[in-house]
Amino acid sequence: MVSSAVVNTYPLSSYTFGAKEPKMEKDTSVADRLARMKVNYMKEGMRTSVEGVLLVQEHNHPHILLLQIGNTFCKLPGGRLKLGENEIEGLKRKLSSKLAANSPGLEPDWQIGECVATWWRPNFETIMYPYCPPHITKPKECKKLFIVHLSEKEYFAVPKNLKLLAVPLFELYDNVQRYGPVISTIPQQLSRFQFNMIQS
Amino acid sequence: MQYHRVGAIPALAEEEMIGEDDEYDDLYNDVNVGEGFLQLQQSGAQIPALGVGKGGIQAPKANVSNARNEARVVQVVNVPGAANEQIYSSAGIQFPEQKCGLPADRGPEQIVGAAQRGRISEMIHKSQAGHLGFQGSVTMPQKIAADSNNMPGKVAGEPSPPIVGSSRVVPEIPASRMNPSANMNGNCMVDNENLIRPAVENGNTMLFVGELHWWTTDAELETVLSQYGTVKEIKFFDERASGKSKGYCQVEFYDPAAAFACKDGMNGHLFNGRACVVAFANAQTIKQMGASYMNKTHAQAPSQPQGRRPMNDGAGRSNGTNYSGGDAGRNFGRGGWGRGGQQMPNRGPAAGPGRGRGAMGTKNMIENAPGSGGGAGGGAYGQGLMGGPAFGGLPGMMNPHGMMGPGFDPAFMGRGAGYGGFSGPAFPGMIPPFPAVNPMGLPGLAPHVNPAFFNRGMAPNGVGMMVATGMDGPHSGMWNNPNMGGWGGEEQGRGTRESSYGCEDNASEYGCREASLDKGVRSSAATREKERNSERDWSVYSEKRHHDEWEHDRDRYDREHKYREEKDGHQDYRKIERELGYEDDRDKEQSSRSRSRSQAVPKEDHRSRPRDADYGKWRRIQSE
Repeated sequence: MVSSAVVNTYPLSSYTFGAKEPKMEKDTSVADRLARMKVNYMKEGMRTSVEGVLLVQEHNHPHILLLQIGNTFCKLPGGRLKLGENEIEGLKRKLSSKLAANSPGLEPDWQIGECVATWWRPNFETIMYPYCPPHITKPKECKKLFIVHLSEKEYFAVPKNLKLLAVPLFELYDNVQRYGPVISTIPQQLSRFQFNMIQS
Repeated sequence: MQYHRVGAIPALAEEEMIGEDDEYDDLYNDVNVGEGFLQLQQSGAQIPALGVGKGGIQAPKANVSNARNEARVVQVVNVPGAANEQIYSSAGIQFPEQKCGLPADRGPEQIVGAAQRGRISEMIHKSQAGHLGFQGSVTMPQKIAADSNNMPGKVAGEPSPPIVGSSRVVPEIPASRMNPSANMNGNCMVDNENLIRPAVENGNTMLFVGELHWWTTDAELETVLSQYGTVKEIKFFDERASGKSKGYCQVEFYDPAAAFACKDGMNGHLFNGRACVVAFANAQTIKQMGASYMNKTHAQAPSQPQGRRPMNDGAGRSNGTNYSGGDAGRNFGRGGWGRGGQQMPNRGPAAGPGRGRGAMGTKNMIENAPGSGGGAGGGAYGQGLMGGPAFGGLPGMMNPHGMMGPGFDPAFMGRGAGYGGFSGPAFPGMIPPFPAVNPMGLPGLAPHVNPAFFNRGMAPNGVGMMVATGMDGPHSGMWNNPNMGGWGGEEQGRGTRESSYGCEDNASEYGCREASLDKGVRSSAATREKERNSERDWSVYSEKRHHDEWEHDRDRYDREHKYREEKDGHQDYRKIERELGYEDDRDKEQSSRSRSRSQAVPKEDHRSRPRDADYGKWRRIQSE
């Protein structure tokens, strides 16, 4: 794992984006999702999920890569870890699953950086907090966001049902309505980094 | 859109829950055997027999709502003729709402004619001994009487008024849970007639446990709950914006007997030094819990300063005894609710005061020392306040209603709010449904008024902590007056969330926070501040934070009083604070906080870092 306060960001144009087969959401509704979460909790205990913050730069400003589902909902690439799986390995697996081309040779060598945020879900609800509330001893989910250091050239294959957006940090900042508390606070989490905006 | 909406709009989330409830209802509708059957009959029986049928017979939705309304409605949909009269007899066979939920379709069938009587007797036989089945009934009887006026002929109408309002999800959830849990059947009255009596066991498996500290964890609760039986679920009610516990939770047991035993055995149990309140789950109790919470959060600021005087404490203590009548009334809120609230005013207080009040009193005394004063002091303060000028008409007010919780805040009264009034203190929209309900009200909850602030070492004084700043001298009730000027503004500020005095930044933060609740965190610093503010407003705790904030805001007072307090030897509390890493200095809150935090976070430890990312950021900036 690379640990550094400096993040190199390359222009969006230095990356190639292709398409691959659709990757459907496992749940059709929030209720379904929560129900499935409950089932998993009973089986495996607290859910740990990992997500990656992938950054590019445009106009000398960092942009974060988000997957857009439908027309409104954006999420970070990532997902649930298997039982006992290492966070970094799990994140690499998820990133590849979401963004890498199917052929093994074309999979990016993901450089996972440090964890920039941890969010906790105290109940089987959609709400998460950046801390575990003090009266909760058994949170239902722990979500960790890791910064991912992209190299200069990468090939991403995006599932057909999703769109990959590069969203500038200023767009996320203070925009909870559209992006939710986790994503809209990423600019704060990243503010400690020094971005090396590399022009192509 | 959807992303945040669900979080931002509780209703949405709740709606989802409702959906689940419906599922349960349907399930149970099919199972009209055994318990279910009994229930049906009970429902049917209610009608003829007396009771207030709680609307069990209707579409699932209605059932749910019925459940919520508990005592209110007997929504009998297709009850033909007289059978469905909603008979609210005070004796009220109140069938636990749960029943309502059940056999919607069967209800009507059963509710017909004389057969019901027969059934009732059957039920009686079937009912387990000792079950009087009034589960939510406790609260019912009185309500019923009132409701009956409205009810007649009401069919399937969901009585909206009772439900709503109170705390968000609460009523719904309990209702839903109650339905499936059936058991009510047992309750069915062993005697047909005397359903009035408060159930010995009413088959209710759902309880509310309130008056908890926000830091009392679910694990602690479960440890104690499991002594009474197998716990099916514990669900805490928390503030959506911050995740902080509101201090009450819903507990479901598998076995109604366990629930009943727990209600009796655990009521008043000290969790982290604070006596809890256990009540059967119904719409009223949840409202009470919610109201209590609201009262506390709003009441705290204003009450805090006043209550601090040692002299008040004495007064408070004596008040405890003096106002036995009042206490009875007040505690009724506390203990009485557990018993089903309004139903029998006399019953509650009888039991309540002993537990609540006494517990509170002693607890408060003791706790002050350790500095958990928040909880402890408040109670004392609340009582102490009685002595104050604002107290005025309090005693008079208290008694008649009997609904006043022990923690009733005289300050409110002083404000001219009067008994019901939280009108004075501008808590727009925060006025609790039960005006006078301020049960544990102030037990030392000083969201923004940090007891430590005033009284560093609560320990020695026990209750006296609220000497408050500079009050050392004139510990007279006058304290309230002279300081009112200074503190009053503060209280109001707190209460209203404005920074009427000295807390400009707080106000602005509040403003920000309010406005931007949907917007989430604005910045790390703001976030922290907001968290602080929220704690300040709501929670007892964060004494440390409050402490910092207070210092920041009231330099003058701080400096003077702190020193004085220290001299007074109230060192313990401050020491505790220091140990906790929150410096009692005038440094900027952030820097002090970040310092303390960053010390705790090893730089290279990524795992622990996430939470401290913001703090880490500060640190890095410094170090880099």
